[in-house]
Amino acid sequence: MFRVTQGKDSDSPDSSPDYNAADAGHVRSMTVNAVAFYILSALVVVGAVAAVALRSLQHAGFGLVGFTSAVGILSIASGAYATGTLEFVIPAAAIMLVAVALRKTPYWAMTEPKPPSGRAMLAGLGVAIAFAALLFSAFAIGSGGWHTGSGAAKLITLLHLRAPYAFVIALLTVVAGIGGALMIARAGSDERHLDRALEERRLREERARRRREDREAARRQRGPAAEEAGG
Amino acid sequence: MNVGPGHFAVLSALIFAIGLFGVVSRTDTLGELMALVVLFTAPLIALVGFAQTGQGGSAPPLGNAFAVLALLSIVAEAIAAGAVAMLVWRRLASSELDDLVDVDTD
Repeated sequence: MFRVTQGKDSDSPDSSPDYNAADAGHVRSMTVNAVAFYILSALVVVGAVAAVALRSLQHAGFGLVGFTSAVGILSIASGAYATGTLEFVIPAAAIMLVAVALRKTPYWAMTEPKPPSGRAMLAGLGVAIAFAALLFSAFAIGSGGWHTGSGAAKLITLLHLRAPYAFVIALLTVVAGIGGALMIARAGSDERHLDRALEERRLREERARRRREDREAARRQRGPAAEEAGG
Repeated sequence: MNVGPGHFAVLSALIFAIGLFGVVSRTDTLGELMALVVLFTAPLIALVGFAQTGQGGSAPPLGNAFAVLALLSIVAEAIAAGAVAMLVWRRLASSELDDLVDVDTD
């Protein structure tokens, strides 16, 4: 378990009989400013509401980026600099990268606005209120049993020295997720062939339609002139 | 007025409820995925908030470490789920969950 080193002067490690380098570093407590907390909390809530409630998925995506960014900034304001930076950078970068990569592809059609379902929204509201009430009552009952702190080591030291396996597994999970996503979403050779054939057919039909329209336009232009010549 | 763990707990519960609302009310795969990301972020807020403002008074990184590991898992899950959503959309030309539920397999 992680050893609590609160109140100990980490500049004099010899005073501790079982000194460990993982506990090195003097990390002072930091209380987030109340005004900053409320402002950032409001941004977090607005971003979350935008991400789940906006009909346009493109706008909802922007809401999600705002939400994750606000959560990251809140963590930074609370003193969790490394965690906050990761919370700020990783989700926002992932969402923006995916959006840019898919922008010019047919997949972008997935983000078209979807009509809301009244019944589903009512059900969602009911379930959300019920769970929120459950959580709030649990917090109200157990208000004295908050987390009591667990040490003063730096985050990177903890991840590197105390939880290397969990850290490596988490990183490998991300790599495996990316690899799995590429495997899942890849297009087979027959599918690429079919897509190419469909695209060529679409272009042929487009050209035929334009030729037809041009002929119609020319016929309409010739019509009055031909009538005058005949009259 | 000091901000304590209770503030983070309430914010976390609120975000969880909003995410849950999205999970139940969204009818498209990508929207559902985004709502899940919101829902999964709620525990991160609690982890970091409790760790930073706990009664210990120090700045304990254990909650932050959990938050980082959870964040990486969420990103991996979102990437894989997004790929599944793309594959389904490509096969069925629809991202509506109702269409996927009622898909004709004959």
